[in-house]
Amino acid sequence: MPVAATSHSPEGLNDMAYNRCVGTRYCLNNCPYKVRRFNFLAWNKDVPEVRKLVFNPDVTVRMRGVMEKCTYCVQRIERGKIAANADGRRLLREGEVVSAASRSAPPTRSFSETSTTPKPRVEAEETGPRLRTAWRIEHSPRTTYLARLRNPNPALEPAAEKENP
Amino acid sequence: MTYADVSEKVSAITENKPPKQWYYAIAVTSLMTLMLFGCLTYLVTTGIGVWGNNNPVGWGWDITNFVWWIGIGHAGTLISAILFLFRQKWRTSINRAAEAMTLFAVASAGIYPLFHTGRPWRAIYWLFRCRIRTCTSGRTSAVL
Repeated sequence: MPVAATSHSPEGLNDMAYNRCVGTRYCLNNCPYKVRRFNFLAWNKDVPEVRKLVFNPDVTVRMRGVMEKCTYCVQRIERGKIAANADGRRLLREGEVVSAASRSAPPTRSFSETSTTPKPRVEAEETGPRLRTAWRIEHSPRTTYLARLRNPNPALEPAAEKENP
Repeated sequence: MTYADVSEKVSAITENKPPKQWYYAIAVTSLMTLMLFGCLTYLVTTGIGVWGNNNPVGWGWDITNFVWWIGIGHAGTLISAILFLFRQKWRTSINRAAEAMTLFAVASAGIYPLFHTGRPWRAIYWLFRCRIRTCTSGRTSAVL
């Protein structure tokens, strides 16, 4: 917090700069979803550097004292942007950027994008209502989850069909 | 009692050798200070997890102990202020003791803003933050 290690990127992502983080845990306390994790101890001090590179080729393994959180696979987003830039286009195509969470469990997770990336394909295929985390608190989070509704209330069905034609 | 007696009584404390009990007391307190330095070294080398807190709680022992010492500091200042406001003539010596207590309590609390951070050796970043705000992310940080 007090050294601006975390900020909102103009694309709508909450960026985390590991090397700037001093470890005050202010952002952890303020996170409304409590998704930030702090490395209180050196969890990976027994892991040799080569092994870290094997398991995490794209992302630095955080040392103790830094805050981390799900970055929505920012390395994949950046790779997609670089590829698009190399082709000369400015916007990413649908499906070009897929986060690891979406790839491993496709229908459960997606997020809406801003200027450089379109809405992912999963939204077009969704078959049920979407759950938003913390919708009551009027946060409008960008992460939504596809829920598999079993045995829905009949009163809900017309509304669900209206929302997802 | 003459003024000379008073001067003698007060100055004798600083002009003579300290009594033997003082040496015992300073030995004990020096050991305690050394223990503080040892514990701080253990904290900085091992990590904040030695305090026993974990996700999702960010501040545990650090903030409660910080507030404790700040409270002690407030107590000393409060004593001085109340005695002054009620214009008590006998306040000088008590003021001195209370303010000394406050100073050391604030010094104890003052180690926390530095040592509760996960990487205190990078605390110098805190000094260079205004320029970072305009140059890198703009005014987009949610917590700055």
